[in-house]
Amino acid sequence: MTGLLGTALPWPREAHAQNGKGASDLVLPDTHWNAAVPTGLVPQKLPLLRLSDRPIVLETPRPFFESLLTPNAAFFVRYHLDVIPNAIDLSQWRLSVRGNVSRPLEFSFSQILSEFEPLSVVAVNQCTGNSRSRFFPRVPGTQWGNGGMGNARWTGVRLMDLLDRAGLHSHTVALRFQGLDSGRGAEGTPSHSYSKSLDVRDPILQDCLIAYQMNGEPLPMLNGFPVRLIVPGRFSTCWIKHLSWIEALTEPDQSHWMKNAYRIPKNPHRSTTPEEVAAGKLSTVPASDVPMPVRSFFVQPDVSSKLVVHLPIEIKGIAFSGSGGIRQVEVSTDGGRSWRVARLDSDLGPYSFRGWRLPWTPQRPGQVELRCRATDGKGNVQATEPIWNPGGYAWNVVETQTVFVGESA
Amino acid sequence: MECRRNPDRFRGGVRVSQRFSRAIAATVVFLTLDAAGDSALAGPDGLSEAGVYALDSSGLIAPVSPYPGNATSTYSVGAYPLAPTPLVRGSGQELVESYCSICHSVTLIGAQPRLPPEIWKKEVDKMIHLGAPIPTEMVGQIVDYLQKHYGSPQEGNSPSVPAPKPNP
Repeated sequence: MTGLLGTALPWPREAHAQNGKGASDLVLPDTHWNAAVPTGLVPQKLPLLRLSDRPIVLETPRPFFESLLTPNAAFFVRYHLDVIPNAIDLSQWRLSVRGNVSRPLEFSFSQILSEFEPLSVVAVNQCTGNSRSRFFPRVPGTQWGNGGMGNARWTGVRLMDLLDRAGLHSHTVALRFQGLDSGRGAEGTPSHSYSKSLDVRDPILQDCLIAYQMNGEPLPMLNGFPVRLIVPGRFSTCWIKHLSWIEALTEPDQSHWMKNAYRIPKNPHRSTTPEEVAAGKLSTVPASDVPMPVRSFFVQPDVSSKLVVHLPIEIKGIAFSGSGGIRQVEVSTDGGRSWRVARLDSDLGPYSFRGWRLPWTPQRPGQVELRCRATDGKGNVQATEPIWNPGGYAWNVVETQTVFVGESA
Repeated sequence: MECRRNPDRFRGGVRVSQRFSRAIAATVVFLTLDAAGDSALAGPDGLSEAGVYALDSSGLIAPVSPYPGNATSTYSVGAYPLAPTPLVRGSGQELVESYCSICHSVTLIGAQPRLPPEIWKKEVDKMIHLGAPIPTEMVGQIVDYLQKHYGSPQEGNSPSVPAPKPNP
């Protein structure tokens, strides 16, 4: 299977046929994700899984993914630096566009609301390190389960509409984005400020929004109030919160956050080995430059209860990809030996979670391994074998859900 | 891009660590970590207040600051709850508390998997690269502490031995 991963396959069925019996000897990591971490309560949020109190890092508990649009109050939070806004005065706040532009501009919140055409996109926001706890050997960083992600309807204005007003000069190479959050490191060090850049030739810029609404409400403070950069199909590393500065650069961004952090292997599986890293042979790209790989998840059953033999249930989950939405989700109820195609729910757009479901009646008591795997619009299929990279990024291995079926008599 | 706040942030951080080291887990203690944030007045960019945390003594769920009921142009959410997980006692602990908690809660240390010794060394080197002002002569003690109390032997974290993850 490995050779097929990440390649464009017109019909996934054919790929599976090459897998012989379809059975895998691999011991896949347990992907139970009802994480046993304490919950924490922060302003504007329901109790979420507290991975760090300062800076704030909160994971969305699994039951919230029953809803295709993740509620704002349950949406995950991830900051790198701890000086997070507690209060913002919109009479003073400005979004500045500067650098290599004809007219440096500062937009007030009311100008953004009134002077540009509003539009919406439903898009998944996923941390590059989502599911990092699955990596083996283990890697340092936030030990996310699968809840470092969320899906929302983002409403705002086109990034390009603002840039057109400012007039980008032709020899601009990149756009750098920075928000109001900062850190306590000395000025000029990476622990003082977090910013990310996108290549000016990147086609995704045409789809980027500067969002002032999330699911029809103001953004929660911890999700980027008053405006946030939306980069559909890309990891959240570049979805800058509290966006306040956009700078047109004439040289590539050489900052730590672009050159050292958030780099993933250039190969299609985003996978390498500790040996290759140690030998200095690994070629990498910024995680923000590439589409998120295809993933799928079980939402139900979640082993919060035992299943009853012969009692029908509906296996339900979600899937998404940064490359053309979801074409197909397959589910195995026998540990990967055979697969059935799940029914897809309504389509909220190519960057959204896609719900899927499959009726199932457990026939025998015992332990059952459910698996789900998705194929995206470009024909990419989820990895079957575990991937590894030193940052713990871009995990997209097929999920396994162990369930227990009990006797009925 | 320059950021114009917190000229005094470094000292502010040390002050936090001192507070942590004698944290009294009885009442909610408000810490204004942002040394420049002693005023509710907005800066030129509209940021009125940032980096304000309050000790959450329960470590679990505590009420958060109430939503301010007014109609001004300032949108605020109150303090963010702090609930640092205490570090393992041992030589070097105070240095770790002082330097690491300038930028982040020590909760993050205990939240890591048992990392091999060389990875802890790399982490400390990375933090220094990020700006942690750890004096050279203290790096060894900090690394030793982390390796001893939060490390694992290399052979326990090898790819040839799959990690047994507990079932729910």
